[in-house]
Amino acid sequence: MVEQKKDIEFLVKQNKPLQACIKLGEFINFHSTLDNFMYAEKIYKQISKDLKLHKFKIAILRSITIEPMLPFIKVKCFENKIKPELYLGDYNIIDQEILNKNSSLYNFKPDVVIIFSRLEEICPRLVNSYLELSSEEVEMEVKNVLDKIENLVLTFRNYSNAKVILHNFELPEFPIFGIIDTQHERSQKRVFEKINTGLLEIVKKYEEVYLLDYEHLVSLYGKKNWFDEKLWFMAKAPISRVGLEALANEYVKYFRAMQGLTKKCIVLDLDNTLWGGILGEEGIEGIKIGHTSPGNAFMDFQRELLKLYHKGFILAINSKNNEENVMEVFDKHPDMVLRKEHFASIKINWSDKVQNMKDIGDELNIGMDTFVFLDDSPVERELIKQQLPEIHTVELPNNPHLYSKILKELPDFQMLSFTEEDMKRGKIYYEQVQRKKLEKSATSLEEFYTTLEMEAIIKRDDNFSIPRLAKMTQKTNQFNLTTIRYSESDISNFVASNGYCVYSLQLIDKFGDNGIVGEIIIKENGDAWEIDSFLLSCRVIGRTVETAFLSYIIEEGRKANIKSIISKYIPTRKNIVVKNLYKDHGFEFVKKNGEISVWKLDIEKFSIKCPDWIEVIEK
Amino acid sequence: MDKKLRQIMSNIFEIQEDGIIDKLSIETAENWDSLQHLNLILAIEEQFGISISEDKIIEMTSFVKIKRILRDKGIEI
Repeated sequence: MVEQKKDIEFLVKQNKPLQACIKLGEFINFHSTLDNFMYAEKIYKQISKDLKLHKFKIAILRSITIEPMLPFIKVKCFENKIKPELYLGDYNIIDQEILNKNSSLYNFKPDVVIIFSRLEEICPRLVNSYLELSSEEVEMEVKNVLDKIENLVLTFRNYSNAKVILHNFELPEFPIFGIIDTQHERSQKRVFEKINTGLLEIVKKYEEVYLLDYEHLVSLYGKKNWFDEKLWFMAKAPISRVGLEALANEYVKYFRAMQGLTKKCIVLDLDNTLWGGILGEEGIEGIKIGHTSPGNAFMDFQRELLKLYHKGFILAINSKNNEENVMEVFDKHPDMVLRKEHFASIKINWSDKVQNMKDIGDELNIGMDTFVFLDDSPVERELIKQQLPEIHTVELPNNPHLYSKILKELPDFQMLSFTEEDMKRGKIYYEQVQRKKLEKSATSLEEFYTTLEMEAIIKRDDNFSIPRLAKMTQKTNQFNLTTIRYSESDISNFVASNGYCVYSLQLIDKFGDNGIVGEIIIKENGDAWEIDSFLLSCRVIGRTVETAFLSYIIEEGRKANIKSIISKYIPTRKNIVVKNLYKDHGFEFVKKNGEISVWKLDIEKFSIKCPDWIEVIEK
Repeated sequence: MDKKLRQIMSNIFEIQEDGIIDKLSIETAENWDSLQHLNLILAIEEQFGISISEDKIIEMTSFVKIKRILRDKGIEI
């Protein structure tokens, strides 16, 4: 242990922060004691300025002593590429801090605020003197708690746009009526459940307020392990060592998702990862995948991966094997859960895995910092860790029985919302790769476009698309002319307003439905239309969809007796691809405001022809 | 034998291990306040797999006293 620390400190002195990080991570993984977390925190602080980290201001309001949790939160933030700045509200003054708009909470200007209140403090009567209350009084208490919390959330929203993480309440460890409690008409546990259901109704009403299922987290670890009686009575610190770390982990899952650090793609090895044994040696009959141990553990692991696929994560293979033999397994083995069509990119060969990894990234057109890598071989893992540190290489245990559990515990796949679009993504990327193969085989670009059989469905001011359209403005960086980010309520205001039109474009081709991939927001200005936003998802760039879309907008403008279309290009680091978009479509250059160029098309004189190979359908 | 304890105190109070001497106490160590005392107790309980009673926790205010109390609990230190 001393040696490891010396190594880490040496790397820090040598000014090798990335390597120091890797060693520190291994050290903490191995010796995860509270004092070592405090040591790690000190080291991370020294090197944080040399690492590329996302700054994040976190405020925690609490009614109990949680100071010993802070080292866990900080170290886990650093491990997840977040540089935390923490504000801890004073002990048990949650209300005062939220209700006073001059409080130090608001001065701190948090990005996220955690409201960790407990029934013991916010409503002690329901906990301590439940039996002294009549049923009516219990009802009143429930209503009061919910009103109080809603008032806190509402007030906070008025003063701050920060994201909110609100705890729900732990159900009683020992409900008042004991073994009969849930059945009893005055059940204490069911009253607590009712409050939790009420909280769910509250968070639904506000944007970016998230309900942390504290009750679930506590029961996951066990109420008996979570509560530390001695520290509670001595220091008002009721959460045990186990609980402190678990809760910190849970917070960091939210922080990651809030910072857009959710991974997109799971890259898998095959032998001893997707099945037991080595295919090249044991053959299709010999590999372990099936209904008895350990084959059933691999089957279960595949089932978990399939769930992730259905949630919209992309699966890929990076394996040293003979492709032919592997395809036979995918096609013929009766117990395989995953099939070839679940993998968007397949690299099975004898070249090194680093190159394969880069090829997968190119093929899918996503950054390797969105990859998670699962491989049973420590040697391959070490190689990827060293060469491609941006990839999250997971320490798979030797025992395959634990694979599923490890996968489920990873913070990498947590998201703050799941839209229908998200869930289709795994399939969409598979189709994308099939398209690329077609592109390679077509003799001309026109032939390729024609064989794609593209249909563009364009809708105006469609209420059902609002979440997707808001998300697109937040996430699209490359094909995005103005890069203005909008929330769901912004978009729904545009949809409802007379001065704006919101157009969405859904693209279907012979390989499947790409979903909504295009968005144009028009701002009406007398006899001109201004294009406030114009964006396309990166997966359909280079297919002339933008031309079809602009062509359609011009026709719409004519119908509305509009004389000209005004547009803007605001350059960013990532949107070079559309630098000449308006010029290429015949727009006339008007002027430059600093970096911003303004363009105009006189639609009484000019049109844009829709490409022959795209059929536009109006809905 | 007191190496583990030294490491814990060094990590928590941010003092070099050779600075953890017998007379180090809640009066002399700069960072040793009531919250760090809580961390110290949690870390010692975690490291040695023991539970320390309230009166002992209050007594554990110097390196030498902590060693004595741990020895009384049968820990070779």
